[in-house]
Amino acid sequence: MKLKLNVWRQKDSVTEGAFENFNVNDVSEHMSFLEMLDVLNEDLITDGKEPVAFDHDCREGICGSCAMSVNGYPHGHRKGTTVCQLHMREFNDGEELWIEPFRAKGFPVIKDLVTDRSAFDRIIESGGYVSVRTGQAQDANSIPIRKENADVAMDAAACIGCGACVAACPNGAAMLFTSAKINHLNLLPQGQVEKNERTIAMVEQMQNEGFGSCTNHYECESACPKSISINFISDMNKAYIKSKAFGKAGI
Amino acid sequence: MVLAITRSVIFAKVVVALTGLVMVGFIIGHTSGNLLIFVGQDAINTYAQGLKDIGAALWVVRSALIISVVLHIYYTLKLTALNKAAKPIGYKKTTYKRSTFASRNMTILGLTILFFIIYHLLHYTFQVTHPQFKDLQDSLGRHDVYNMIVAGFQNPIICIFYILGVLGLGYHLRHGIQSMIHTIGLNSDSAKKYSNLFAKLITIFAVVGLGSIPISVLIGLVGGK
Ligand code: HEM
Ligand code: FES
Repeated sequence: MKLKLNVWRQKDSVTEGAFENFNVNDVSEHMSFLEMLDVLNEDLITDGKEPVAFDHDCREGICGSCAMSVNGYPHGHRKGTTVCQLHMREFNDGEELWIEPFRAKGFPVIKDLVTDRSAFDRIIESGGYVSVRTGQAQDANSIPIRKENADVAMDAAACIGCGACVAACPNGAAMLFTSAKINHLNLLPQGQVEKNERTIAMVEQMQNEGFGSCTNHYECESACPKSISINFISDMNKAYIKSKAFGKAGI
Repeated sequence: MVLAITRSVIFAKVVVALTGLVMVGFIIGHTSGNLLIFVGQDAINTYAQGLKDIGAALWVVRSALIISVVLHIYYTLKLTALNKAAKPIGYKKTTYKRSTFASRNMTILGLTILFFIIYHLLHYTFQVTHPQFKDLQDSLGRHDVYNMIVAGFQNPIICIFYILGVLGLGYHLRHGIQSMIHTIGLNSDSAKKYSNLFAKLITIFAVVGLGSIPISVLIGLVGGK
């Protein structure tokens, strides 16, 4: 199949960017979106031009490295799919595509489609540690956990931290990511000891990084390649207010 | 950097939700009261006199309402500015999956309501735009609210303005009520189902209830000779 691509090109974080047009021919519908870009880059390199910079690592939808918006949809329009797992059969022959970096103040563009998502690392870092007993490894099943909590914590843990939620949100909010990480630990017995400090620190780091706030557009949930539920945002609001207002009293 | 709770966005969101709830309560009460115009002149004038007779206690409710309006506007404008700053560049192709006209225009809809409220107060509450409304009395010597409303809606331009204001309120409530319920943490599957239903019902009640009054006066259903 043939495609008309409009790709965002930006030399570095300070230079202004613009779209560059490419016609790619010989795209197989079995290729992933990133493989299609690989083919484009090979052609560019052969022609002595600068290849399009984009983030990727596992190409299996588990690392959260790949990040770009296709026609305004982070990771493309297909539900529950990272762009590395998006196949070209999702597109039509002759289609024109607009490929852009994730857009948000919290994710400045470094080059072309690559953004600096280290704000997420700093949110995680601000969460600190969980206290565990050292010594001999204990039996895996010695801590009882409610089945429901284990299930929901597992759903939260599915977050790969790619940033699609921020990229999709009209407010540039990082509340889906932050709430998934907070709830993941808050739901489990191991997370109880530092629950209050962690909730407060992560929410405030999120705010200090310049992300927006949720007004329940629900764009994040539908863009999330792991379909993380916006219920976590609601739970985070409750946990933050509780920790902030009553945390010192140890409630 | 540790934030004071009042500087946190989640605190702001919760204040917006709770003050919104107070105002939704007011809208339900206000719409129900106004619908008495369809019962008749005596019913709505008795109701209006009854409100006046509450006296000081009415001011407690009014104060709560005024504080809610002020806080709601202060925090929504603050959050809107923050959210705009957090998304300085949009996409070339803007595509949405779940957000709605209402959810994307809450601030502008809210400001439309504010503009409407100001005119509405000057029109019927303080009667600045129509000082002759002050002298209307019914046969029992009470302020004749029934005829004031009828007289106020003789002008089609004013009626259209009211209908637009009420439609703006409708969109604002359609998203706002559901959003409020989610923000304050009611997020079980059944809560989500009911919040959606609840938002629709209150919106329909407010839009149809309030909108029907100028329309009924205009077509002569209320106050027609
Ligand atoms: C007077 C000017 C007003 C402005 C500028 C305004 C603005 C806003 C904004 C920006 C939001 C946040 C949107 C969101 O969360 O998606 C909001 C939410 C809301 N507003 Fe207003 N509004 C106004 C008046 C009103 C009135 C009169 C009512 C009630 C009848 C109301 C009820 C609500 C509710 C229930 C919410 C939901 C709170 C939440 O999302 O957590 N607002 N408003
Ligand atoms: S490259 Fe790892 S998730 Fe896409």
